[in-house]
Amino acid sequence: MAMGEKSDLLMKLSEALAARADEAKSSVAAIGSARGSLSGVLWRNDVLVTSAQSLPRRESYDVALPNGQAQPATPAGVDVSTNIAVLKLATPQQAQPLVGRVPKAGELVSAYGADSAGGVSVRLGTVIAVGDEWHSLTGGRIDKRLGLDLRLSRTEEGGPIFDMTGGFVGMSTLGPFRRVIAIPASTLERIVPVLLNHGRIARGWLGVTLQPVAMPEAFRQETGLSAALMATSIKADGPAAKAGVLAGDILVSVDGKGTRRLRDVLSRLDSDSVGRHIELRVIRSGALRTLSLTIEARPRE
Amino acid sequence: MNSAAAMAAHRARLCVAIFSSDPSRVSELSGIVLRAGYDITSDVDDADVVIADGSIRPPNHPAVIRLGDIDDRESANALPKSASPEQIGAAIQAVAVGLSVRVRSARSQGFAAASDVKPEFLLTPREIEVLEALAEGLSNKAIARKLDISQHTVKFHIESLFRKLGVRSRSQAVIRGLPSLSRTRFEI
Repeated sequence: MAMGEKSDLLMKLSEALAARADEAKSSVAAIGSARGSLSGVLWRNDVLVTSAQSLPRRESYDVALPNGQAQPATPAGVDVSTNIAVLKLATPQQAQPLVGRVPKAGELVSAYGADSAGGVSVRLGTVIAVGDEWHSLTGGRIDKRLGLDLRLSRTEEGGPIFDMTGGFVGMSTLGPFRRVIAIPASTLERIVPVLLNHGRIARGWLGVTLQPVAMPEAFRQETGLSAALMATSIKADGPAAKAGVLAGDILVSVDGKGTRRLRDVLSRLDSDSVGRHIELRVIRSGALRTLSLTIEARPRE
Repeated sequence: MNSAAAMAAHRARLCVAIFSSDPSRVSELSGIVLRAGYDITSDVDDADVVIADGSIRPPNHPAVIRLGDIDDRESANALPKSASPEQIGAAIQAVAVGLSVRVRSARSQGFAAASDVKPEFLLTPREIEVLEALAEGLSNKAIARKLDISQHTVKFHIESLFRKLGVRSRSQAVIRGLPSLSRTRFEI
């Protein structure tokens, strides 16, 4: 019997996966520079989205599309804190509309990558877990925690991930120990338009370096906290300096909410926080005191 | 083994040639190389290792360390401009015997979540002060004087530090404790 005549479940699955890949490949592109390439998502006719951590900073990139076309693209914006970089294509393409979807744990997803010769690669895996929003090391808010059980090479990072309904799960990103996560579609939808308009994400800024510390015994009961954040250095003329924060102050709450961890402060510094007045409770020389601070925009690096 | 590696094995002290278009950078690098215990040469053919900074095209040599202004920090034998004297010294030694070096970059760590230290392992502000004093090599007596506390209290803080860091000596405490402090600290 010829292979083509067989039609059991596995054959059908395999064929369906290949058909999905054929549909998805028009949404992936290779972004090349002299030192290799990474992958990107064709977000709109003239917009590519990719992984900021792996994109070398250049004036221009060589983009290879799966239809065999090659063309230059220019950087349009980057936000390291959510790992999103946006490029503008010189010649608009026919982009497939992306419909964002949050998958459930256990679902099958495919991650797509491209190489500079126009080839497309496909990886298959399950969604390991779906968690709540989280904050990156650099303070970016990611709407969902999406861990994926698949391997990805460096050149495949930044490409699109689709579920089996054709829903757009997000952009692939390498985490610690090369574990693969998705920057969710909802985070891209929130950040990409801002990057296209402004080139960066304005973030609230306090101008202080905070170190998590164990709460001194004497204040555990009064504050109800086992840990807090100590100011170790203050940026001159920054918001914290203007509010009178001193090195050595221990921050225990912002607007009455306990600051046990850095994310308790980070979560209050989104782009709409700029200009907002907040109240800080700090421990200084053994006594609690209140300082008021006006959040400013983080200065450009 | 290539010829440079063979030479390195026979010579008592490694010979380093330094290339930069900036004379002050050359003298700065020379100082680092000499303090690391190596000799300087101006002759590429005589050098075991060549150091070339980003301003210059490196000469043809089997053991070249490129320094600074390099776009891709993942390429072999390329150190950032900010490389420490210790890193430069260790790189010379490694490259001379035919190994290649690279800096552990932020990229190789991947995109990560803000990490939390379990509350029971967090240091108190006082313990941090004691740890920083240990890093300066101060004795218990000197720490007590500096922080205006009794020597008995200093001992108490050091014991607590050792327990939280899982170490048994003052030097281990510094080696383990200081990097973990800087990893959990944020400028926001």
